Amino acid sequence: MHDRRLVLLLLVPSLAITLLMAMYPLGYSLLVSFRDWRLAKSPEPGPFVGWENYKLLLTDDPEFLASALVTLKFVVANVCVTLLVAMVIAVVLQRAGRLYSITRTLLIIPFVMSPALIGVSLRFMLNPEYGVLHSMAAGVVPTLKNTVWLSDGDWAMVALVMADVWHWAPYMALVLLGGLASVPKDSIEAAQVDGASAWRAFFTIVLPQMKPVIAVVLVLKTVFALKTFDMVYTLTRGGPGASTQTLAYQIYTTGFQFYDMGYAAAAAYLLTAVLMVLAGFYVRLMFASERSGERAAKGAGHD
Amino acid sequence: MTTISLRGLEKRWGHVVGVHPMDLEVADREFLVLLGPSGCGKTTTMRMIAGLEDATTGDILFDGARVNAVRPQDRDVAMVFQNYGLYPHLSVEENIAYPLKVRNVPLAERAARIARAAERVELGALLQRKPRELSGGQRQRVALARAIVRTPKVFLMDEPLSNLDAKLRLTMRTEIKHLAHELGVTMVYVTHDQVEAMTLAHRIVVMREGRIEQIGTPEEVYNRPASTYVAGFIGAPPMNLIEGEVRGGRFHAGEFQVGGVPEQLSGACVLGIRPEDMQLVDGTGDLRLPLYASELLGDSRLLSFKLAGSLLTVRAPKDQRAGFDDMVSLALPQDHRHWFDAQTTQRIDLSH
Amino acid sequence: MTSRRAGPAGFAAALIAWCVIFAVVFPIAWIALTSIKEPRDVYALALVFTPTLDNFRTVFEHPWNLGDKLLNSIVVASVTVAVAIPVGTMAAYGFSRFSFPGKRLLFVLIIATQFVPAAIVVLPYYLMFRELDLLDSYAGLVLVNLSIVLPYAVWMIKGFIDAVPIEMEESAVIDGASRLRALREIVVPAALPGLITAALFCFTLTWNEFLFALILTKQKALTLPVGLISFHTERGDLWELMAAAGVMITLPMFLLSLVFQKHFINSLTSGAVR
Repeated sequence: MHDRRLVLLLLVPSLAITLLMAMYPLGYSLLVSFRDWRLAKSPEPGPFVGWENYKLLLTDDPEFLASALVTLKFVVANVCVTLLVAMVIAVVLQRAGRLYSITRTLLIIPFVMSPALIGVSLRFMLNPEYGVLHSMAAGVVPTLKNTVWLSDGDWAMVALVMADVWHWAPYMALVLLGGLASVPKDSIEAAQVDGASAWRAFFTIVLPQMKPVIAVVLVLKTVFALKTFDMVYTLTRGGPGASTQTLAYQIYTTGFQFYDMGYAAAAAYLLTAVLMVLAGFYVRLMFASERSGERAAKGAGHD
Repeated sequence: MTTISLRGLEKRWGHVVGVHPMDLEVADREFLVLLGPSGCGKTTTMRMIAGLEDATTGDILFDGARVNAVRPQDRDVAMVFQNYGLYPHLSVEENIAYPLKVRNVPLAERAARIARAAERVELGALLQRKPRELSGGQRQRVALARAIVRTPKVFLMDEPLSNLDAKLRLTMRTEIKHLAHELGVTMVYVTHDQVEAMTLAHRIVVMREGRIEQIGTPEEVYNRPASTYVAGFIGAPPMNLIEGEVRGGRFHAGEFQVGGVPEQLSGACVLGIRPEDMQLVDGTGDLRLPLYASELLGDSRLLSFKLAGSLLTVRAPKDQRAGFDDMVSLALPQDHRHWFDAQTTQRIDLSH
Repeated sequence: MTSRRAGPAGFAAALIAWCVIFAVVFPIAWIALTSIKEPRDVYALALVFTPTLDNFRTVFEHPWNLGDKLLNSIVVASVTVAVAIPVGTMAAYGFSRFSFPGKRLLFVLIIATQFVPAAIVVLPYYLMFRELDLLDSYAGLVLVNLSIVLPYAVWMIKGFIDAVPIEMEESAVIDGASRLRALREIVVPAALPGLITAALFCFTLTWNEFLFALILTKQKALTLPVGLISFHTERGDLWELMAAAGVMITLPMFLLSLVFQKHFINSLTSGAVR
C-alpha cells in the first residue's frame, strides 16, 4: 500500500507553500539581521556588521530589555490568569442544566472576534469621558473617577491582559471541558466512596489526569501570548510610554516606524529563538502522547 | 479454480517478526481457518494474501501465478473486516454497489447483482438505510453482501463474528457455513475462537507467535493434536495436560502414578487426556482424588480435581451427585491417552 | 456531566455562569448599541436613545468605503479556505496513512512555522511582494494567509483522518478503488465534519488577520480589520462609525459560529486534547 509517488503528490503542494513562505523570509531576515539597514536612508540592505545588532540588543539597549521585561510580565500574567479563569469556567460549566449549556454555547464567541476589534472596543469603553466600563467602575469605587486607565502604566497592562483573557479564556475553557470529560468517572466515584470531598477529589484525582491537556494548553497559550500584536496595536500602541510595549510590538515599530530593519530583524530572531524552545516543548508533548497512543493501539492491534 | 499457495512467506518489521517463513497450500473451494490468539500472525498472514501488507520475503501465488506485486484492488479478493468497514455516508444499497461501481459494471447488471446479493443475506428491506441505523448483525450482513456481489476468486474474513453477541454469533456462523457452500469459493477465515474453527473449517491452521503449530482437519486437530499448545487450545473444556515423568514403565506425577505406559516412552513427558474421555468408575481406577468442584452445564457436569498442582477436568453425566471433597475414582483409558514430549511439547507418535 | 442539587456550591456555580454570560455578552451588546447611536448619544453614554442606521450608511460611503473592504475580506477569506482545505486534506492524508523517512520532521516543520513571530516574516514578504508586484493584491494576501492557515489545516485534518477507521479505506481498495479514489469517495465524506471544522477555523483566522493586511496592503486590497483603525483620525475617534464597522466584522463570524456551533467546538477542542 505504499506508493512513493502518491505520497509526493499529496504532500508537495502543502509543503511547497508552507516551507517556501516560511523558509525564504526566515533566511532573508537572518541575513538582514547581520546588516545595518536603515530603510529611510537606502532601499537596499546596508553594510555587513556581523553580530553588532545582536550585541547591541542584548547589552546596550535599555529599551529592548525593557520590552523583554514587559513581555515577560505580560506573558506570565496572561497565561496564569487565562488558565485560572478557564479552569474555573470549565469546572463550573460541566454541570447539566439549561443555564450551563447556554453558557457553553456562548464560549466560542470571544475567540472568533478579531483581536484588533477587541483592542479598539476596550479603548472605547475605558475612555474616561464616555467609556461605559469607566463609568461602571467609577460608580462602584468613586475614587476611580479620575483615573485615565490607558494613561497609567500599570492599569494599561491590566487592560491589555484583561482583553487577551477575554479573547482566550473561554476557548481555553472549552478545551479544558474536553479534557475534563475524558477523565474517567470511575476514578472520581472511587475517590468519593473512599471519602474524599469534592475539592480533594478535584485536586488529587482529576487535575493530575488532566496534566497532558493542561501542558499542551499552557505551551500554546505562551506561544500566542509572545506573538501578541493586534491587541497591543489597537489598545495601547505600546503606551503609555513603553509600559505595554511587548517585544512583538517593539519589533514592528523598530522596523516600520523607525525603519531600522537590520536591528528589527535581529530582535525578531531573538524572540524566535525563545519561541523555538517552546516549540520544542510542544513537539515533545505532542509526540509523547502520540507514542503512548501508538503503544496502546499496538497492544490491541493486528495478529 | 482458485488455489492459494504461500511459500516461505515471512513478515518482519525491522527485528520484530510477525510471521515466520511459512508454507501453506489452500485448495480450490476449501474453507481454511487460521486459528490462534491475539498476536499469533493470523491476521497478518491474511492481510498479505489480500495485498494490504507486503510480504517481507516469500511468494504468494493464486492459481500458480505470483501475485506479490499485484495491488489489492487488482487481486480480485473480497474481504469482510472485523469492524465491517462499511461506508457510513452511503446507503446499504450504495455500499453493496460500490465494488461494481468501481469496476464500471453497467447499471442494469448492477441492480440485478445487488438484488441477488441482498436476497442471499436477507437484506432486501433495508437497502435504503444508512449503516448507522442498522444493528450489528445487519451491518455484518451488509459487509457480506458487499463481498459476494462480485464473484471474487478468494473470500477473506477477519474475525467477522467477534463483534456480535453470543446468540447472533451462532446464527451467523451457520449462515456463513451455508453461504460458503453455496458460493463455492476458496475461503480463508481468521478467528481466535476454536469453536468457530471446528464448526466451519475444512482444515484448520493453528498458529502461535508467527508460526504454524498444526495444519489439519478438525478431526485431526481434535483427535491427534500435534503439540501441547494445540491440545490445550482446541476443545472446551480443553484437554487435561499432566506433567510428569516416565520411570520403569509407569508415569509419575506428584503422588499419582499410572501404569500401562508404552515402552518407547521414558523421561519427562506430558500426559494428555480429554475431559470427556475420562471415566468415572466404582471401586478402584487409575486415580482416586477428592472432588475440588462440580459445575452443572445443563447437559452434563464438569467435575474438577487438583492433581500435582494443576486442575483436572472430567465430564460426567448431569445427575452425578458427588460433593466437595468426596473421593472419586477415575479411569484413564489407554486409547484416549495422548503423550507429548515435555521438552519439545510435540506429540509423541506411537504406532500400536 | 455532573449534576448536583442546589446548595452553596450550586449557587456559586450559577453565579459564575451568569458572570460569564454577562462578561461575554455585555461588551458585544454595548458595541452593537453604539453602532446605532448618534454621536451625541455615544458621548453622553445614553442608554435610552433613538436608534439610527446612519452610521451603517456612512461607513459604506466615501471615504470609508467599508463595502470594498467587506468584499475584500470575503474574497480573501473564501479563496484562502477554498485552497487550504483541499491542499491541506491531501497533505493530512499523506501524513496520516503513509510512513516515509523524515515524516516526523516534515510534520514538525510545518507546525513549527506557526511558532515564528509575524514580525520576522513581514519585511521579507513586503520586499518579495514588491518585486513580484503582489503588494496590495488579492493574490498576495491569499498567499500570505495560506501560509498561516495551512499548518493548522493540516494538523487538524490529520487528526480527523486519523479517526477514520482504516478498514473503510481497505474495504474500498479491496473493492477495487485506487487510493486516490478511496480518498475522494470514502475518506473525505467520512471526515467531512472535521473538514468543515477546519474550514471554519481557517476562515476565522483569515477574516481576523491584521498585521499582514496592515503592512502588505495600501488601497485596493484592504480588509475589514485594517479598515477598523481608519476611524482613529486626527480629529478624534469616530466611535459610532467604528462600532458599525465592528459589527460588520463580527456579524458574519457570529452567524457562522451559531450555525456551525457544533463544528467550531469540535475543532477547537479536538486539536488540543489529541
